[in-house]
Amino acid sequence: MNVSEKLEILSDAAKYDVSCASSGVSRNAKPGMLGNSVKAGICHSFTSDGRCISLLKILFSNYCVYDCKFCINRKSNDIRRATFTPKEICELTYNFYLRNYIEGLFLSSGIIISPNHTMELLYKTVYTLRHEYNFNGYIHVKAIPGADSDLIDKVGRIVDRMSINVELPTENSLKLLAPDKSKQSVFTPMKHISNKIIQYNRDKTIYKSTPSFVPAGQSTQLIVGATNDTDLSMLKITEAMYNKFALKRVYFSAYVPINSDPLLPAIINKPPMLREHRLYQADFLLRFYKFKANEILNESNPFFNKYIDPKAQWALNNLNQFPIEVNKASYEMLLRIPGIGVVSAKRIIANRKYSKIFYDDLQKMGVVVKRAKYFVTCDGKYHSNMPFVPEVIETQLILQTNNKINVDQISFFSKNIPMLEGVRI
Amino acid sequence: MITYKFDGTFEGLITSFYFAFKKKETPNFTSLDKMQIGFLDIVIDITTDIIIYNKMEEYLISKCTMMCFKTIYTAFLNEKITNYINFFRFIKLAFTYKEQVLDLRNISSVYEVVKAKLAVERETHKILGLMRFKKIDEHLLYARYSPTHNITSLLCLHFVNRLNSFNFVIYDDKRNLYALYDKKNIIITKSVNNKFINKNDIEDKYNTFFKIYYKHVAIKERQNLKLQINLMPKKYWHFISEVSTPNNSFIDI
Repeated sequence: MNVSEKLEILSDAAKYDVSCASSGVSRNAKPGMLGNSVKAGICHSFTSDGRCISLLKILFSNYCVYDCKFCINRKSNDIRRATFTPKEICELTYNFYLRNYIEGLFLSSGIIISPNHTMELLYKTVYTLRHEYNFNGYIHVKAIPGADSDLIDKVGRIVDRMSINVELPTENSLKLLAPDKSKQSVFTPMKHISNKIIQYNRDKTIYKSTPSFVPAGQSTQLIVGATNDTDLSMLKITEAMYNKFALKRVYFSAYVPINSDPLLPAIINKPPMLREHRLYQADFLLRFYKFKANEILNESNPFFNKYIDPKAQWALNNLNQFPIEVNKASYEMLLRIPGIGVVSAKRIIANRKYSKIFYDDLQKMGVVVKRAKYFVTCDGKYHSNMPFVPEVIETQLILQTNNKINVDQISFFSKNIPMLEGVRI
Repeated sequence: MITYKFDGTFEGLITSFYFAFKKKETPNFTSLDKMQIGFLDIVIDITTDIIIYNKMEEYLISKCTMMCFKTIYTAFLNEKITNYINFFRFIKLAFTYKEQVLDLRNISSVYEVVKAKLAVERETHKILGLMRFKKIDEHLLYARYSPTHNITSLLCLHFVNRLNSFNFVIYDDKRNLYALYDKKNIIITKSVNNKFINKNDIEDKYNTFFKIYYKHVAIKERQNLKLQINLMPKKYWHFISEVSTPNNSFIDI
C-alpha cells in the first residue's frame, strides 16, 4: 500500500476528532530547526464543512482492539485498514509544513496490540520528528487511556498538547456504548498529566533549564447526541474538568451516524449541530465570562433553548438585575450583558477613565448594539424603543437571530395561530 | 484648504507631518497614487527626505511610544485610506495620551485609525495561514499571492522566523513587490533580475498528497459551503492550490 492510499484511509478515520487547534503556545524558531509556534494558532485551510485545517490530522493506525459502538474504527467494522510508519508521518509533516499547508501534526491512533505498544509507536514518531527531522512546529498527540505513565511523561516532554477523549459524559453511557473504556481509565491519565504540568511549571521558576511539559495544556472531546444525556450533564462534566484538571479546551462533536447499532440513536438526517453550537456558547461562558454551569442550566431546565443563546437566556431569566448602567457597572457585570464580550468590556473600562460613554459610542467599542440595547442604559437613558418587558425583549431577540421564522400579522379570522415551541411568548 | 501631496510612501507621510508641525497647520494629506484634491485646494508638494524621516521616527517613538508608531505604520498599509488627516490628529492626541490614546475609541479620528489597523492585522493573520509555498529547488521556496492591503512587510517577519534555514521569495502580484530572503537579510523590492518564476508550474507530490488529505478530512454530513467561503474568502482562492481550479488559478508568466 502506498502513502497516498494510507493517507486516504487514515485521514478519513481521523476526521471525526475535533480537538484540533494549533493554539496555546508561543515558541520562537531555533537555529537549525524548522518552524515556530504562534500563540493564537493559525488556520491554513477550510474544508467544505467549514472547519479549519490547522494540523495534519491523521491516525497512526486504524486497527483497533476495542469495539466502541459510536466509533468508525471499531473492531467489528468491515473497513479498509492501514498503518503508517513513523518515517512516512515525519516526511509528510515536514514537507507539508515547509509549504505552509499545516501548522503541525495531530497524531492519534487505534489501539494496536495494547495501549503501551501503541503509545510506544506514537512516541517513536514524535521523537523522530523532533530530533531527526528537527521539526519545531506544533505537535498534538492523543494519550492512549491505559498506557504507562512513564510513556506519557516521555511523550509529554516532546509535544505541545495532549488530549484524552472522554467522549461520553456519564459512566452509564460509557458502559453502554464503549464497554472497554471506563471513566477511571480516562481520568487517571488526565489527572496525571495535569499534575505533571503543575510540577514542571513550578520547577521552571527555580531552574530555568527545566524542559516544558505539554506547554499548550490538555484538551478533550465529548460527543453530542449519541446517548440520552442532557445538556446539563455535558456542561457539568465540562465545568468539573476545567476546575479539576485545568483543561485548556473541551470540544464538542455532534454525533454523525456512521455505524448502525440498536444501542445508538436511529439514523438522523443531520448531526445535532445546533446543540453542539449552544454547548460551545455555554463553554465560552464558563471559560471567559465567569459563569457557573448551574447558572446557565438547571435540573428543571436541562436543555438549551432552541432560539435564544445561553447568555441572553440567562439575562432574560435574571431581568431584575437589568438594565445595567454602562458607565458604572463592574467588569464582571459588563460581561453578563448580552452583546458585550471580553474585548468590548475591556474597551469600555479603559475608555471610561477619560470620558462618559454614550449610546453612539457602544458600536465603536465593538458592542453588538442590536442585542445589548435591551439590557443597558447609557448615562441614565434606556435607548431601546421597546418597553422593558421580558416577553417583548424575548420576542425581539428571537426575531433578530432567527430570520427563518415568518412574521405576519395574524389575520382576524385565522384559526391556527403559530406558536414557537418551547418559548413563552 | 491646504493639501500636502506626498509620494505615497510611509516616509513621505512622516516627512509631510514634519512640515505640518513646523508650520503649525492642519492640512489635508493625500498621496500621489490615491489623490483626492478639492477644486479650491492649495496643493503643496512634499519631497520625501530620508534624513527628516529618520529624525521624525526617533522623535515620534520617544514622544508617542512605539505602540502608537506601529499603529500608524500598520494602518498606513490599509489600501482603502485616501486622506491621512486622521493619522495626523491621532499623532497629536498621542503626544498627550501616549499609548492610552488607543483606548479613546469614541474620538472619530482614533476610531478610524484603529479600524484601519485592525483590517490590516486581520488580513495579515489570515494570509499567514493561506500563503502557499512551492519548493523550487533544495533551498528555495517561492510564494505568490495578491492581498487586499499591502502586507508583505508584516508577513515577512513571521516567515523569516519560521523558515530561517531556507531562502524564500514572496511575490505580491497586485503591487509587483518581491520580498527576498537569503537566510540573513530580507529585502523588499520591485525589480528582480532573476526569472525564477518560470519554474512555478512544478507540481510536486506533496501538493497532490495535500489535495488528497483536504478531500478526505471533510465530513460530508456537515457540509457548509457558506461557512467555508466566509472563513476563506474567494478572492484568495486562486493562490490556494487545493481549492483553485484552472479557471481561477494563476496564469504563470
